[in-house]
Amino acid sequence: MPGIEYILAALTPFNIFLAITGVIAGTVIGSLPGLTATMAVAVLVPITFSMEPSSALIMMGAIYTGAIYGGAYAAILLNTPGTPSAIATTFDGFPMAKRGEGDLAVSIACIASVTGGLVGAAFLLMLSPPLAKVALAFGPVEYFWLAIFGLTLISALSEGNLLKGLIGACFGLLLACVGIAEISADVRFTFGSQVLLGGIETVSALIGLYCIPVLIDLVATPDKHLKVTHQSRGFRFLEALALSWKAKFSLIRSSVIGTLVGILPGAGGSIAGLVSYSEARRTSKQSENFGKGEPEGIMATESANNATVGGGFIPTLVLGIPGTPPDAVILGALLIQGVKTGPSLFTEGGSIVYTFIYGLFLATILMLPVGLVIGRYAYRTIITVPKAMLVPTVAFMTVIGTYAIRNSISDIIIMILLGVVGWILNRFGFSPSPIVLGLILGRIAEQGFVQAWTIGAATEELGKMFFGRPISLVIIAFILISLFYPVIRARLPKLTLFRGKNNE
Amino acid sequence: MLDVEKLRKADVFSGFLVILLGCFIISQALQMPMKDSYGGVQNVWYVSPALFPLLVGGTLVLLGSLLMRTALRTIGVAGVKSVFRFLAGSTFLTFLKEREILRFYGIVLNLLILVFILVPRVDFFISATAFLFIFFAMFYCLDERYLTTIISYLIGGTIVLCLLLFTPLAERLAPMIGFPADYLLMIMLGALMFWVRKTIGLDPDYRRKYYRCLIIALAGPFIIGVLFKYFLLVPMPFEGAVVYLLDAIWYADFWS
Repeated sequence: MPGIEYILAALTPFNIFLAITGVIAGTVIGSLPGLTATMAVAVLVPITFSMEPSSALIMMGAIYTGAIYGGAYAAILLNTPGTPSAIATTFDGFPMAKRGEGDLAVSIACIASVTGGLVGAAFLLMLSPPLAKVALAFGPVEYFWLAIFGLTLISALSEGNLLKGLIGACFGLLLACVGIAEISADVRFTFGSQVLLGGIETVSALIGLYCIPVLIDLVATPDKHLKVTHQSRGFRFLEALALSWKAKFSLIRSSVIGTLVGILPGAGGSIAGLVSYSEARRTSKQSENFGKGEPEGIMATESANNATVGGGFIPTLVLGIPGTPPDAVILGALLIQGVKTGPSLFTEGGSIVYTFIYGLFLATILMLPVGLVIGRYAYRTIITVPKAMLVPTVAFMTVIGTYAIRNSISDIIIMILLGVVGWILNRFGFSPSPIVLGLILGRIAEQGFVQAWTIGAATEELGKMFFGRPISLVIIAFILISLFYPVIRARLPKLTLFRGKNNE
Repeated sequence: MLDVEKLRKADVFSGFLVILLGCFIISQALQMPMKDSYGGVQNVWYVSPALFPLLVGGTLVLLGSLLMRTALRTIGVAGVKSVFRFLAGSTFLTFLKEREILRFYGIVLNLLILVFILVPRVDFFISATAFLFIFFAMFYCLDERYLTTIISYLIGGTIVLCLLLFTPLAERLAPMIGFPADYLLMIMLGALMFWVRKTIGLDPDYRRKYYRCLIIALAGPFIIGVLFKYFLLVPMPFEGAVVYLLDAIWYADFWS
């Protein structure tokens, strides 16, 4: 069990300062409708490059957790989710605000977010070390299949279009092939360009794919005037606390659902929020009140989406496979710092990981006062910032941030080009997450594939190498389930209907 | 995102483009070395760098075909014909001139000029201020009917700047006035600021917006630029007139 020294390392004045700053910055960015948690992390990530890895991780974790919570403000007070994770918060948050209980809804969201965040962090602390031990048994072929599993899973979850998700993943794999080949060191797909020799820089590609399309979309449509009509009546913290205590089991269940969804590669807060909302409605005694301003609905969504933060870090740190899109950005930032995520990180870089996990606990706890104060006093000011002023400022920050990664103008060019391509692809129904995951997992997949091929060819047991190892077979089974899940799901209502008719 | 019917129609073309991309990857991969020999003896441990791209290319061809097939089954041949009619007819040209598309041109043009022309060749602070102010002028300071005028000014100004940057003129002027492109951009930006202020007139709402934009366009790059340059020690992409001045102030020895 990790010792007290890591707790003390997380509680240095500098780390506390970073956690507070990160939570404030994340909450502010997350509360702005249109700006996502991924964007909050991507825009602010360059500031962390000069920090120690554990401090940088604490700040990024704080930004991420703050941004997920920040999305609740606009969802409750404007019926517009600040981040996609807060979609289900609008269902009950806005009706509560309409009947004059907006403050109570914000306080409930804050308590639920903190609870979810703490449960997620607890799972991260408890599950990661044993999983890292299991992951040490993984060979190249298991890593190859694991990467493919990540890609098929995110494709299956990409807005209901498996084919486009898979195409996006392949496009990401192609981007990962640019530059010098993993094993043989041959130059590929550079078209004679010196700039592309080093491959496509992950963080700049992520900034381009996640930020630029959002910025273009924000300005391409005229600015809607957002106005909060709800009158503030105070924190109503004790009332919110009493309501949360009454629904403690629902709160914990939603947090666990959020953590588990967060572990799945690519499935972020929005899916977690929707799944736990429907589960809370199904099991609640007041299910008929859901959608009409039921506090339990807010609790379910907000606890689940914040629990994805801790849950998402589990595959990120243990396997190097990002659990959620912001984790992909954080993973890229860690690579720039020279920290290689994977099972060995828990043995060789224990101080980094455990200091970060305790830092995440700290940031989540700090979110309670910070979130309540911002929700009470600063939200009106934040919401009045016009999109047309916000967008160029963020765009400018993405440019300087991308440049700061390697002091390279080529990275800015790649970022902008990928951003414009990402916007066009988005218009045609291709989501950026499979592309990003393909780019990140491409190197893991190719390395695993080529190494497994070499070993298999040398032992003349190529088939056995890829399809004959027990762990590989389990992962392949998961791949098949994720690939055929949309088909099964599409047929499921028909089957249920058929069974119902037979019973009649 | 487009609505479902339009999306299915677009899928026919997306699928076709994906197949083309897949074929291109395969053709490129086939040009990569497949075997390796050392001193005339074949290296059995060599794994071709084409192996993985071939896998990716092949998968893309397969998925592209499936996407096309699904789309064709949904919209039929009549749907494809209607897309061709749309592309060949005047509706397509009208679509390209729609307000939303015009806003898209404005954003992308401004971004591309910043990245390809300004950032590598003009002082970072001036480039960033120009980028921000033009953006604000396009979408915030002024009414939407001025969007075309600002885009035209942006294109015209860029051509003038390119004439200075990509001809020997800049080199000849540099010994005399230091950073000619920086000063030229400052003059053009000043002219735009003056024009925007004049166009706004006495409307108090727009005047407030104008001054707010001016402050952010000047203070934003200054605060973030100084933070990156002097605290995070990231050199600016191009250090011209303003960085020269800031360096002189930052590194000045006031105590000697």
